[in-house]
Amino acid sequence: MNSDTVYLKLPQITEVYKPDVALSDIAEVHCQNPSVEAKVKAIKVTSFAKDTKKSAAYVGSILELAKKIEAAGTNVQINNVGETDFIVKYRAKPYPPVLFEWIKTAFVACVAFCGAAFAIMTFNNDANVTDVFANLYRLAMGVESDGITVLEASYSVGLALGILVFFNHFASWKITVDPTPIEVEMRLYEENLNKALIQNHGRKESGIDVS
Amino acid sequence: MFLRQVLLCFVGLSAGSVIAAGIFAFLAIIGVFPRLIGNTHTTGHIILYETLMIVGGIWGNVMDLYHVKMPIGGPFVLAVYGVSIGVFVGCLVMSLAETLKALPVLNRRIRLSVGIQYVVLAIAAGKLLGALLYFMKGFGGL
Repeated sequence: MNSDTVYLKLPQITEVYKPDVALSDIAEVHCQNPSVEAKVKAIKVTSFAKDTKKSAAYVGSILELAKKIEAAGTNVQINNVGETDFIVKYRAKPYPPVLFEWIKTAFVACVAFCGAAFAIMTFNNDANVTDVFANLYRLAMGVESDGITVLEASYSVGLALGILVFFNHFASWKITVDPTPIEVEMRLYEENLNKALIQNHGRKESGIDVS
Repeated sequence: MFLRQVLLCFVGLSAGSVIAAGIFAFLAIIGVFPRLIGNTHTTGHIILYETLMIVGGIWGNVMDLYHVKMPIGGPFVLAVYGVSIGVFVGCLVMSLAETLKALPVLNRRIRLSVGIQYVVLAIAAGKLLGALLYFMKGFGGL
């Protein structure tokens, strides 16, 4: 009997909102034979406790999936083109109450605004930018600076330009289609979290913290 | 004289751009904002946060160099500003320690295996005490 090849593409992490998780919820499945594809897609990966408000995570590997696919009685070859370990995150509700969301956003927005202002002020203070500018002005013009010169003005403009170029956008106006630095950092951070979660789950021994 | 002004203008522009790139690359890479955004699950508002960082950076610099007054003031605004900066610096200091792998190295050296959460708590308590001492005993010279 010829076996069909099933292609699986597992993402590293999937968020689900219903307690019973089928394979089609977490992975892209492809098979030439539609009936086999449907059968494989319906295989239950895991189930979370019902009626819980808490979020939960399940860490699994492609081996467990292979066992489940075999147990379902399908004679297939599995070809995994995605991750070998995966996380399924369960949350009871997709979105918490709206007001609370906006409060959190306002909080982070405050920290972003004040933090950036604070960072640039502490830098200007630390590096004593005012004095450096006064010296530069004296060197270039031969007279004492009165504190408000073309240097300060152009520095402010240059700073604004530099920030805009670095962040690659202002509000909804984008300079290029590249993702913004915080978006990139966010993805990196998420990937690190997922990796740590998978590795924590995978290690049975507790003795080797660094070998 | 005009040429010298142009030269100064050029120096200022370059200085501003380079410093902006440096400071904001530092802010982005140090991991304060990914963590805050991650913990509050507000990834959808990244553009808003970045815009505010841009505006904050420009505003902070102008305020610092030109001593521009805030359009709105009062104790409440000051309190919001203080709490925000406190949260920011608290995260920043920890992120810095983490980026430099201070805790993992320490843990490895003395083979710490239990109670890492208390170490973290102790760091937070120490920071609080340090900040209070600094301001109350006038370490800042005021």
